[in-house]
Amino acid sequence: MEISSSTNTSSTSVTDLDVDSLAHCASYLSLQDLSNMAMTCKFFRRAAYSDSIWQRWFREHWPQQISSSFLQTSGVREAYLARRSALQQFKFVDPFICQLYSSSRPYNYILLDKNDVYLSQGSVIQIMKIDTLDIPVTLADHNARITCMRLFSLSETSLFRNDTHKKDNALVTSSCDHSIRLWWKGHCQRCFRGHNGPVTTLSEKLLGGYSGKLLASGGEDGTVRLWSLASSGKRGQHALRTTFHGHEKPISLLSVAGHKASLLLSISKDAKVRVWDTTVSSAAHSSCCVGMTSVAGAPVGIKCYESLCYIAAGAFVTAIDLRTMRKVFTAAVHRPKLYSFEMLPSKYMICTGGNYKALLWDVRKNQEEPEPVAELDGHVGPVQFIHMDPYKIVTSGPEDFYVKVWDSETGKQTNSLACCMTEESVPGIGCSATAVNGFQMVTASCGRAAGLLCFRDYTNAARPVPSQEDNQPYKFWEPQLHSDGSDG
Amino acid sequence: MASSSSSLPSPSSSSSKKFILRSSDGKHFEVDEAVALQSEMIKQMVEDGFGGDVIPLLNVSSIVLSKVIDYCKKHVELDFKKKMDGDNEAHEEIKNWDSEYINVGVDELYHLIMAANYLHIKGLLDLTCQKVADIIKGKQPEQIRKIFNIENDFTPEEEQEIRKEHSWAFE
Repeated sequence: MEISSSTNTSSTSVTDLDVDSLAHCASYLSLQDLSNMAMTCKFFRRAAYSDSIWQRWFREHWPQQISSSFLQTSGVREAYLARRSALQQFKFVDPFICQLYSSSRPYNYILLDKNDVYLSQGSVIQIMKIDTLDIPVTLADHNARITCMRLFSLSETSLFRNDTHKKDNALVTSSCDHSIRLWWKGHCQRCFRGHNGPVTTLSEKLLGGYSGKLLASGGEDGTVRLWSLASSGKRGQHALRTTFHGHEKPISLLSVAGHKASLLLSISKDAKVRVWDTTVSSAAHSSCCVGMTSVAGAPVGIKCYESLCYIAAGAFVTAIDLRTMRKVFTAAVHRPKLYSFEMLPSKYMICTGGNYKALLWDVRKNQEEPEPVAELDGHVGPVQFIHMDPYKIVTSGPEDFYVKVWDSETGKQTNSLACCMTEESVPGIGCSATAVNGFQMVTASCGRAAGLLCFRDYTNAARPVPSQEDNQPYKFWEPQLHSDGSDG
Repeated sequence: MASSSSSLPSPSSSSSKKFILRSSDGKHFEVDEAVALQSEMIKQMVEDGFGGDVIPLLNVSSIVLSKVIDYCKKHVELDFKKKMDGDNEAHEEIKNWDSEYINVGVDELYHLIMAANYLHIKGLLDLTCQKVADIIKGKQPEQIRKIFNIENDFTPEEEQEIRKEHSWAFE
C-alpha cells in the first residue's frame, strides 16, 4: 500500500487528531505494536496508555477477573501489567491444575509448545494436548533412548506448505539409535541417519548460512554433523550436509554463536571446545575448525550471547571471547560442582544449580572473584533443572518434591509448588523433568509404583499467594523454612 | 443553490427526501436522506427537529466532505444490496470497496478520521482507524515517527525509562 509523502504544505498533522481517535486506532494493535507506538512521542504514548485499550486487554485475557476493585484503580494499564507479571511469577494459589498418572518409568525431557506438551520417556515420545489434557499420541519410532528434543519453526523445514502453518513448530529428536527424527502432526516425517553411534545432542538454534538453515548434531562418534531440514527426501537421504571431525571424545553440547549465526561451538566430554565455521565448504574439513580451547571439568551447559560464550563445566562458568578464543572472565564459581546452568542474557543474569540451592550471578559484576547476587536455597538434593525468563526463575531437582519459583529481579521466592499433589512428600522423590512456558508449567515425577505428570496454568488464577509477613495459614505452600538471607 | 453532486436514483426508492450539506468552505452538497443519515450527528440533528434547510458542517472542507459522501453513498447502496442478495457477496464487495477507498495518504487519512469523528460515522471511523493501525503494525518507533512526520519529544532519560518499562513487550 502506498502512503503519499507528506511533502505538500498541508498544515494538518497527526497531532490534530484527538487522543480518543488515536486510542481508537491503537485498539487494533498488539501489545508489541502498542509498545512501539508509545515510544514514538508523548502524544502517541498518551493514546497508547488510554484506559479503554487496557480495559479491553484485561477483559479479553481474564474475563472472570474483572472485579470492582480493578475498575476503581486509576491506571488500568498498570493493573493489567501488574497482574500479567504476577501471573508470570506464579504468585497465585489457585492455578488450573491437571494431573495424569503415568507408568513408573520417568519422563526424561519435556517441551511445552503452544498447544502441545512433548514428553520423552526412554525411546518413546508422548504428545499431550493442552486443550483436552489427554495423551492421544504415542510415538515409538525411535529404538533407543531419546537424548535431546528441540522445537524449530515449521517454516524452516521442507514440510512447510502455506501460511496457515506459519506459527507451527516441528519437533526434532536425537536418539541412541543413531538417528535424528523430525516430527509434525503426530507423525515422524523425516529420519536423518549418518552418525556412527548414539546421537547425543542437537543445537538449540538453527545455523544461518548461505545455503539455508542447518541443524547441528553431535554424537558419541565424536563428529558434529550438519543437516538441512529443508531437504525433502522422506528418509532424509540427502539431508546430511557436512561432517566435522576433530573431537576425540563424544560431543556433549552444541551452541550457535550469538554474533555470527554461521559459527557453531561444540564441547566434548573431555571439555575440549571447538568452533566451526559452517560456511566453509565440506570439501575442506580441516579448515572448518576456526578455534579451539578447553575448560576443566565435566561440561554442564553452554550459552552464546553476542561474541561471548559462557561455558559451564566442573564448578565454573567461564566466559570466552569467540573472536580471540581467550578466556575473558570467570562468571561463576559454584563448588563443589555444577549440576545445571541457565542464562538470561537480556538481564545479564546467569543461574547455576548445585546441591541444595541455586545461585544467581550478575555477569557485569563478576570479573575477578565472582560473588553471587542471590542464593535460591532450600532445595533437597541437587538442583538439576533451571528455567529463566524475564519474570521468574524456576528450579527443581530429582530428589526434591518441591519446585521453587523466584523473582528474577530480586531473587526472592514467589512460590513453592509440589511436583505432584500427594499430601505428603516422599523422601527421594522429585522432578524427573520440568518445562515452563509463560503462565504454564509441566512437571513430571516418578514414584515407586507410578509416575505423575502435573500441568499447571496460571492464566486465570485469582487468589494471590499471601505475602511472607502473613503466611501463617498457608504453610502448605511454604513447606521449607525460608531463610531471610536470600538476598545475598 | 448550486449542487455539486449529481443525484443518482436512490436504491432505497422509498426515500426521496433530500438534504443539503454545507461544507466549511461554503460548498453545497445535495444528498439523499439515507446517505445523510449514515452520520449519527446529522441523524441526531434531524431528530431534534433540525432538518429541511441547509445543514452546516463547520469542521469539514468540501474536498473531505465529497470523499465522506462517496463512502456513505456506497454503503447505503451496499447495505441495500446486502438486504436483497443475501450476506456473503455483498460482504465481499464492501470489503474490496473499502480497501480501495482507504488507500490514501496519511494527510487525507487524518482529515477522514476527523470528519468521521465529527459526523459520527462509525463504519468510516473504524475503517480509517484500522488503516492507521495497519500502518503502525510491525514497525519500530523510528519508522513510525517518519511516516507520521512526528518528532521524538522524549528526553534521552525518558526514553531510557520507557524502554525499561516496556520490557514486557520484548519477550
